[in-house]
Amino acid sequence: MDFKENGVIELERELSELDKFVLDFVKVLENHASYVIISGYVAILFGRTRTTEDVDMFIERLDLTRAKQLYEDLLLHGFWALNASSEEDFFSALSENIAVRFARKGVVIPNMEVKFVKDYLDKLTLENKVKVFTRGGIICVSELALQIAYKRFVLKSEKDVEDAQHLQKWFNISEENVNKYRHILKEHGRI
Amino acid sequence: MVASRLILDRNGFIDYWVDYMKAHTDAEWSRQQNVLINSVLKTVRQPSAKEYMEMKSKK
Repeated sequence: MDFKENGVIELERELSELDKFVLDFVKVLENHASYVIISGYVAILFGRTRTTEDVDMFIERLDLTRAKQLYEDLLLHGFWALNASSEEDFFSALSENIAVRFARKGVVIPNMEVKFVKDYLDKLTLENKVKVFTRGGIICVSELALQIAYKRFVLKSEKDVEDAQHLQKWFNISEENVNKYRHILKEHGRI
Repeated sequence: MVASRLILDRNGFIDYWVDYMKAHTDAEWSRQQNVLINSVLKTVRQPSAKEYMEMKSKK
């Protein structure tokens, strides 16, 4: 693994089936919207010894026309929505801040859990994303200190705390850096 | 007592694994990690979408 300037990481990992699923999905998505992957998959991409059935992400808010184009393109590329049966359903759910899940046709797991950004913190996460260059393409993930703070101080499950421990040790992220985001999370009512 | 020992063991394993990652190439550690990920995905029971969404809404 190699850190580059401007929030770029080069990761020479061998791709898992989960990575390939994520890459196939984001290659379609990135033609329509900016996105950032958050939560468990971030720790897994960077080596955590567990897997997940769903991959959480925020995308920028789209109007109906762009949302329809995205939905159609995802279907065209072999995905289906578990909880949206039309373009209108898709747009309507996202607009009401309900996540829409996409999987490969014929299966349910793994799936991508897609949400619109809804507030300052979501936008901050999207704007400060880190680009990870893998052997199969680029995956945009949440800034790591923010991810660690969110897992440690907001989510707080055993799994999340362990993900945070893994990321913090792997990237040598200081407590000071994590605490900076802890304060931001507190200011915005997440803690 | 048993639960706290288990957490200590889990934390110890996380530190051990990150040290292992630091001492090996991305390709090496990911090859081992992928054995776990790929086997879980290969053998996972696929529920219906309805069943899955109901399960998620209860969480």
